[in-house]
Amino acid sequence: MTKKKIDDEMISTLVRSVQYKVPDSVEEQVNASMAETKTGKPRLFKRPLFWYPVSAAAAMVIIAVLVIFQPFVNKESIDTGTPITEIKTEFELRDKNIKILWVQKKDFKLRKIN
Amino acid sequence: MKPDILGAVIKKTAALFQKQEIITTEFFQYLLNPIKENLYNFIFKALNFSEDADDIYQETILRAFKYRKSYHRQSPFKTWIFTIAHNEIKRYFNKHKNLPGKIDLEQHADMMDDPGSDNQTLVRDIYEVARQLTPHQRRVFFLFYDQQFSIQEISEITGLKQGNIKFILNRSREKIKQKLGLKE
Repeated sequence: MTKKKIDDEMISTLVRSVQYKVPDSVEEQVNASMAETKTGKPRLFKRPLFWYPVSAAAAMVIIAVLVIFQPFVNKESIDTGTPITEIKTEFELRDKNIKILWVQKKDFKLRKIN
Repeated sequence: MKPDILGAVIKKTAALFQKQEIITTEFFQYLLNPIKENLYNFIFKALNFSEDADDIYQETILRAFKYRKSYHRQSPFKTWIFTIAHNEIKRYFNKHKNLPGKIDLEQHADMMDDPGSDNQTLVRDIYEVARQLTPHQRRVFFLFYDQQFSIQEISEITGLKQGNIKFILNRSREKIKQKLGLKE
């Protein structure tokens, strides 16, 4: 074992004594890939702005469908209640032993308030 | 292409680069050519001489080429491209938790500048120490000792604090001394 003083410079010299060249095959692949990147792949549409009106129209169609069919609206939450068909009102005059029963049948629309 | 025409092209692209901060393909290659072997060596060594280094090298250059517009002249081109290489290696080790193949310098002996048996042993021992380092320690080790970046530049490349880099280098130095039997 060499017993000489080892410092950064010596380590660097020893590390740098092993050097490799870039393999030709790798070099060729890199150049080919760079050339491919440079030319670029053909674009699907020459004008990307074409997509803006298309996507806006699609969004409007979706909104219209949602407004017309209202698929996500919970119908139970706007329950109008059971329709009232008759109203009964009782009057009782106990001292005269009279009981009046007044029945109002459906002849106009009534809705339950509560 | 004649040298004077090539010179004119380089001069023109350099002027464009100065004026508009753009890098043409030719100018990118002009910047890359002097450092591509350094780059390849760094990747190859940081990956413990794995064959995957070829893919990482290719990926690094293509990524640098793709994002060449993001390179600004505040830092040297070498530092910028080594940062990309560093990130590619880091990504590689995140995918492959196990270290790639063991170092075999016998196989690469012809690459040594001085194949004297004494130095060969030293070189082998140093690379063996490097192999035992963690991937991020090994990247710092080769950036400093092989590529001779300053600690500040290594900090820019790796994103590590300078104190951390000094600590890693100190630990590596101690391990080398231990391996070479220079430490009691």
